Amino acid sequence: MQRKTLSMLVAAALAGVSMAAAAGPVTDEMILNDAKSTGDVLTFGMGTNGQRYSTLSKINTGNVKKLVPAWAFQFGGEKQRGQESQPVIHDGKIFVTASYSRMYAVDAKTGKELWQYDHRLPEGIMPCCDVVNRGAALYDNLVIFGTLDAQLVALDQNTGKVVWKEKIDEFSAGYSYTAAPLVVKGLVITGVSGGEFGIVGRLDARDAKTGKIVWTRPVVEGHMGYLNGKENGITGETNASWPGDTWKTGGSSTWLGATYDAKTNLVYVGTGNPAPWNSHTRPGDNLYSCSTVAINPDTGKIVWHYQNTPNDGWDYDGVNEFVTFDMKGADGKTVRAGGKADRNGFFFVNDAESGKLLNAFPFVDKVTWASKIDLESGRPVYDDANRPGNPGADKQGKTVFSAPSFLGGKNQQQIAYSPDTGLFYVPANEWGMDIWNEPISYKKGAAFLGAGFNIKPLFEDYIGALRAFDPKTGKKVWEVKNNAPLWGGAMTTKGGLVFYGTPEGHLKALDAKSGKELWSFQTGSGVVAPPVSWEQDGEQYIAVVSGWGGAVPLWGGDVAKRVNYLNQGGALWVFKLAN
Amino acid sequence: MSLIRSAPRLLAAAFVFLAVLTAPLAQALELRKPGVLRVAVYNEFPPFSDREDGGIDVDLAKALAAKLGLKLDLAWAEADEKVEDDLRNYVWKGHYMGNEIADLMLHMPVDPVFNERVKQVKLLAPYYAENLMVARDLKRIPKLENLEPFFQNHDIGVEVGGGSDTFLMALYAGRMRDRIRHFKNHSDAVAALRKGEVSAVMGPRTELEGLLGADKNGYAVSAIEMTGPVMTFWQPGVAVKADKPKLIEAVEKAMAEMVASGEVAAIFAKNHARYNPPRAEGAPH
Repeated sequence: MQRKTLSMLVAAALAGVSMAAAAGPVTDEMILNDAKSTGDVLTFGMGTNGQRYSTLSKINTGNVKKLVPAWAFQFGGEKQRGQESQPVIHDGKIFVTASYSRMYAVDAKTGKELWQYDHRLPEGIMPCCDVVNRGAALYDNLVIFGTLDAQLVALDQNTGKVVWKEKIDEFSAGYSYTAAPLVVKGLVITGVSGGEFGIVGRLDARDAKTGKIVWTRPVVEGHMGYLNGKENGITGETNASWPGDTWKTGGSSTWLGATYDAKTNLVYVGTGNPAPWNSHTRPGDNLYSCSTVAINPDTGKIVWHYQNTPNDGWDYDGVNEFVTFDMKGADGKTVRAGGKADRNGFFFVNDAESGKLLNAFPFVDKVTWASKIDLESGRPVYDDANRPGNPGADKQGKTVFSAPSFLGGKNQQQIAYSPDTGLFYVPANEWGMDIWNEPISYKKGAAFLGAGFNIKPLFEDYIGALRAFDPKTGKKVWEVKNNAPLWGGAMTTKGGLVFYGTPEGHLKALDAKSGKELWSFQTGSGVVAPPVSWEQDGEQYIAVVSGWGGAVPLWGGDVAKRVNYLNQGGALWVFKLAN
Repeated sequence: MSLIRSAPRLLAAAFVFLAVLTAPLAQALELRKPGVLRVAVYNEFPPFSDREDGGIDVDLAKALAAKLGLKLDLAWAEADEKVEDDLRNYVWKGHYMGNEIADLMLHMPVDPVFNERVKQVKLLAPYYAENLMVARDLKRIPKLENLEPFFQNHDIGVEVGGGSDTFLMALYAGRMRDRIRHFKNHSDAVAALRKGEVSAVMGPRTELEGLLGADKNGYAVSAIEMTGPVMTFWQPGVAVKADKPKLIEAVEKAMAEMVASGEVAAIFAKNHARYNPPRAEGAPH
């Protein structure tokens, strides 16, 4: 049945049937068609495969300079901090999440607030990973989002009233939640955020209508998966790539969520760094940390994995999104592939069906930890001199300079792919870090051998750079530099445009082919969220959330000094062409 | 006219006078709230501080507040990755969730080298000396002089990410790795020792003793020879924001008196741990 509907949809799309916005409950079919339907934005990524490509062209290279604000909506509240949310839009309503686990429903035409939901956070909660939220998922009559205290909340789209609420995990054990959930085949799929110690990354699938758990799949070797309450096989092979019992506290949090490709029927999730931080104490690959893991949503089992950074020693989380697309090979055949701009500075292209590495190239100018990714073996060629020393064996330790810094060549800011240009648009950052052993370190009740670090810009004039890459050749087609580090995602359109925001507060439109800046608007606070586009009453709209914050001011070392003049905020901006 | 204008000033002066009268000590001590000493202690940290069971640091906070003639307000601190983070969250700045910071925090390492890295606070008034030791099951390991048993058939428990963890995992190029059992905290590790799941646990002496409790029959907590880069000795004390000289002076004086009088030693005994007084010369580096 499912297959039949899917093929019908594909046929309809091939026939060039225009897909307007549908009112009423959000269905699986509507979600799978989100990348093509123009009247709504039902998913994080503007399509479950995360291409962030709009088929609209009413706003284009010729007229984008006439783009003006239609309205703006302020989140208000006493607390601001980073606003990393992507709005979702359905049935004339925009659903947008905000910092501190808040959600708003706004009339898409007028910007009038329809309702607000403030999640009540437990007293004394100290979430590990900032107070951001990246957005909601839509299903049926529900809008579903995760909270800082690791709960999943489903609200009625019309009233904002809680329909169901489920605990993802214990916040007191270090778990949190900041990503946008993914809905696939009636399942709402979530990862986990959390501190490095004691948590184990996994993907959970729940019945989206009720919140009841269906399957759970840990992404660290040795842990048992479950399906419908029954054991569903352990992940990998216990102790194959972790010494002793280190797999039990293996880290690998899945804090940036997942993508899904209907053609392969696979859910792709990126996994974080292994714990503990000191790589010398856990020799081996430490699977499946710092990897892309492909899971069949019907079975909750891992189909393939590809590890971007084996035995990570730099905090190169591999959580970045895996964005599927059609790539024409040298032999003229089209392969379903996936692109991922990893924290470690390399852009990876894998076969989306099998995981086989097809291409890998650096997307930042300076990478010190590996000289290249060997395409034959699929493994990095390490520069051992540039691995941080072992605090346990080497008391004094040397200072190692590593690039990218642990904030990554790319972090949470999403890439976009245009089937028109065949290019990926990557919001990249050029920075490195000094790492040294700190023999005198303390944590709760104990002295331990820690490490110190300081993030440094690599260049005087810029840290951020929006870059266009050809995934087949690895060629950098163009770049636009930015003084502050880029922290907001990109979007590209049929109108030949790339939209992205900057911490300096601008939303910009570039020519997708040349990178030439065609339009810019100052939103009043830094933009660290991805823009979206949709159509209503025959007009194309662009929306983006503005509000400076995120990890840079929290962790940025010398870099934080470059951006400490930026003001916080919290607003949803909507633009359309001037009449 | 002039009378009306000066009235508010007179009133203000009266208020200041009243405030000084009601809380002279608080004014002098640069406290956040007059008459109240807000003390941060770690949450879930037996035998030092536990919301239900109290502990050494809770008793110490009570004694310190009483000695200074102040009302105690405990702030339960969630530990972050490092003590630097805890000092920022609870002593000199506050966490971005908007918590109320404390006047002082207990169990902070009094270490001048470390204090150089966190100049926003002053680390002072050490109240005991802590050592890294091994608690063991005497039936399984009657005698223990070095780590030899853990190269063969005995498992040793550690707190994940703690000092014993980093030390043992790296020791002898990792030859002990397969014998090391990681636990969420020392409570779980000592519980596993009691259940016979591990033969020993390495950790701070006071934690091991306090967690074993009143009846330590069948168990011993002792030092062993440890070589390699490991800190086996440090001195917990108090952290106060560096710009509060009067509070710093008062806390330093009160704690020294409590250590000298045996009041601190009595608190340790009550919580089933031996007491090692702080050394004047501090921790060796």
